[in-house]
Amino acid sequence: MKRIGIDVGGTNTDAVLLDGTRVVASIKTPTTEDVTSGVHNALDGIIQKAGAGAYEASAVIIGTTHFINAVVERKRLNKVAAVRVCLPASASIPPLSDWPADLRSLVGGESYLLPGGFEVDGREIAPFDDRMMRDVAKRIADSDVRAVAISSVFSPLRGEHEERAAAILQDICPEIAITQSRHLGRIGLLERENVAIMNAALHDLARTTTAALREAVAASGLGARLLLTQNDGTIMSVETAEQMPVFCFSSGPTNSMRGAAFLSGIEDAIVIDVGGTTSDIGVLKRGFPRVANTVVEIGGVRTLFRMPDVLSLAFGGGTRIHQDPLRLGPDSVAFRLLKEARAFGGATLTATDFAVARGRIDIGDRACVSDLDNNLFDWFDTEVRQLIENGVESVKTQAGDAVVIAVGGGAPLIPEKLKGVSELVFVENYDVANAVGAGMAQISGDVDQVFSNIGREGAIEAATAIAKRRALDSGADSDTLKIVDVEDLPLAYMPGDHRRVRVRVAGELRGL
Amino acid sequence: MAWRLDAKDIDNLAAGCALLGSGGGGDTHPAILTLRLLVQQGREVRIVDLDELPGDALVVSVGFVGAPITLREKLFSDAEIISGFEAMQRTLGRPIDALIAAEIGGMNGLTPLIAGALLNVPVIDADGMGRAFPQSNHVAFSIYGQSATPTVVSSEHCDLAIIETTDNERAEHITRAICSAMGSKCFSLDYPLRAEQLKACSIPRTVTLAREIGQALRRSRNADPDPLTALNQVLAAHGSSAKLLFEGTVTAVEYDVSGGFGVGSAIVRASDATILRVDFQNEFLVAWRNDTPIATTPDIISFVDGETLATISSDTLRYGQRVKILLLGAPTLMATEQALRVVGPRAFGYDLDYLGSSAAEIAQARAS
Repeated sequence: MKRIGIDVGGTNTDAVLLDGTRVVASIKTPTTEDVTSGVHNALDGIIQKAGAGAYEASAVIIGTTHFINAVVERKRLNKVAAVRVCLPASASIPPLSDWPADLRSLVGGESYLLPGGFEVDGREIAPFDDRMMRDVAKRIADSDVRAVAISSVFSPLRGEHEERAAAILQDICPEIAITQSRHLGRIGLLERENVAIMNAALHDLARTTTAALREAVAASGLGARLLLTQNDGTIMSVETAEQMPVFCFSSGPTNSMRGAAFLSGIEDAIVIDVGGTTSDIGVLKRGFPRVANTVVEIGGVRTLFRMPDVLSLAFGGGTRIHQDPLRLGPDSVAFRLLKEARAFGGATLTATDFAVARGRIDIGDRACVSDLDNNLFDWFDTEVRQLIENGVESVKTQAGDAVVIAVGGGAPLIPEKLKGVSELVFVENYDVANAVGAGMAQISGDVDQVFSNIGREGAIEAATAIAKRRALDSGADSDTLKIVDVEDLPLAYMPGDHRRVRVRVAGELRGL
Repeated sequence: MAWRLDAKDIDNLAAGCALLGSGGGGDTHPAILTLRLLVQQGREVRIVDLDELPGDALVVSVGFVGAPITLREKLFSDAEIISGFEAMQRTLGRPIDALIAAEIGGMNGLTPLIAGALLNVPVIDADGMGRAFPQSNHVAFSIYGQSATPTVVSSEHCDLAIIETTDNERAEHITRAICSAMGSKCFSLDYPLRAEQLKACSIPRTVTLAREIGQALRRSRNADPDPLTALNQVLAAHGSSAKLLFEGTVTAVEYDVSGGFGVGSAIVRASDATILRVDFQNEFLVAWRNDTPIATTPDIISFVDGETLATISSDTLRYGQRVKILLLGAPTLMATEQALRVVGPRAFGYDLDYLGSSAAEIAQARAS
């Protein structure tokens, strides 16, 4: 079974052709402004390298940072109307209250608060009011807003009111794009609603981008199915990605970590992905990135959803080395590395120059950096070692030494013998680990819900059944489904036996 | 001295409330947003000293009660605050002149300001703990003999319950049961007291202190002086002081939920390999070095991020965090024999006496 994995990063678009578990061909191409032509170039490159074999690929799996960049750069976003079903509760903080002003003025349309939502014990806060919702839908239909985000209190526990609001909207304005918060986020109304609004704001971009990606695959002459990778290291259909662009937000670091797991054959480890400007450090648990359970700020907005827990350090291949006094970065020459770094005839001393001078990477011209001496090498190793050791230490969840896998174009910059590290693993194809991760992505289903009066085991069993059903609904092959993550939290504040259970399962995509 | 809340005070005030929370007191984020919106709408919050009110002025303690998970879904509503306030006035048969916080630590340090902005009622520059504690009867009002009742609790539906008991602990139990029926979140008004009664049982100027702590942390985050110097400059004027108890990396966290409280301990390792263990029940209670206690409740033990100085609450501690652990002296009123029976180490099940600041220093010298 062959697959093509593509990772569209800020600087490079990397692609690999995988045959089962073997990397047949790989290529690095520059990312283009429109994303699509970069993907097109990468596909062409792979076809040239691999020849006819490339046409046997049954899937092209793409990871892209395009959507998160749109939020961070405040570009290509559309206006959103927010509907929150909550009254009489939660009235004091309207939607978008905690958004940065520039982003709010780009995205914010009308907000509507309506009666409804649920209590933590499942009772209705207030009955849903169909007539009021119909009035809101008519006003939205008359406005120029084409995307709506719906939230309601405790919708991850009971989603009926979001569902009814969506049905009425659908009925009155069938063309409108609807995001329901319960499909995206966890407990935490403001953060979940923020994710829903962000998702709705990406609607236009998601539609044009997915259409362009489809076109790029079609234009390459490949008969392969197009899939996108999501934040948790699993894949979704291009139709889902079009509806849920926020699920693509963190595919960069996630794919690197998944690729590291795959290339090394190690499922529990710490992964360092050394890029051009930053190094991302994350934890692999059973082959998947550990998920952050805390609030994650994206473009200055608080969110809470399935994102890998990643620590970013200001160190990469393009990191400038300041002299007099000697200092490591934190600035980077980034994508100008091939022009400005000393090893490429430029005038700027960068981290990459050290690796070239010592023969750790075979790029550029070693003669250009022959003046770097052992004293400098020692200084560099000490600085980098300390930075990485601290980073590794702060992502650990338990004491003791850990296995560390180094990937990314800058992986050879990492010095050996790190404190707190039992083994430093370098792998083949380290520089395209992210594309490998995309190519190997699996399909998942998950659940995060409160279960009452069925005990811990009963609750986990019920949750697992829901997660499996969701994975199957998304197209997973039932024989390969594995539980990836189980977490349960007793809710001691409430009378009776209530626990919040999270379960995530993953497996191979059916029919690939 | 009376002052008006300015929009730029809110973040500082919230940062101070978080630090004074001693690891507990609840997330301040929704309260910050609510307060910011009210101030933006032109609402005023006046913070006044107890001395500025006539002795017979009526003051009521206000706060939100609820499960943390519920407070993240059901945000505040004006309705619960206004209906509860009016019901309390009806019950007492006279207007309420000012509001006060039961605990300045955490979310409820900001609640009286929200209510004050909404109701146009001044807020007393004082509170009942000078920090946060897990239960409402851990408040100085109760310790020094005042009754919590009549207590009024209200919901976003304007549902009301008026509680009259002869015992503050029973009032707390009944409040919790009603809170659960109201959807695990309610607004509570209790300890209706005259200003002159409050003088003997409240910690003065803690709203100002919280704001000044926030300002000090912000200053030292930007550059000089170091946080401890900046904090001590502020605390000195309030008759208190802070010291750096420990600095290191969190190497283990045990967390369990028991009886509605987050119970456990955190292990922190310094660069010289010395180890500090800090126990918590929502709030940090006792710090141990080599099995010797070096700091105890009611002194305020607070964890802050080593870089940003943002307060880390006990439920957000995790392995690998680089932390500074600060120790702030307890307010005098919370360290008397009478108070220690309720909030000292023995009250939380430790066979230990309270270590005052100087005693703590001796113990630390012995331990190291």
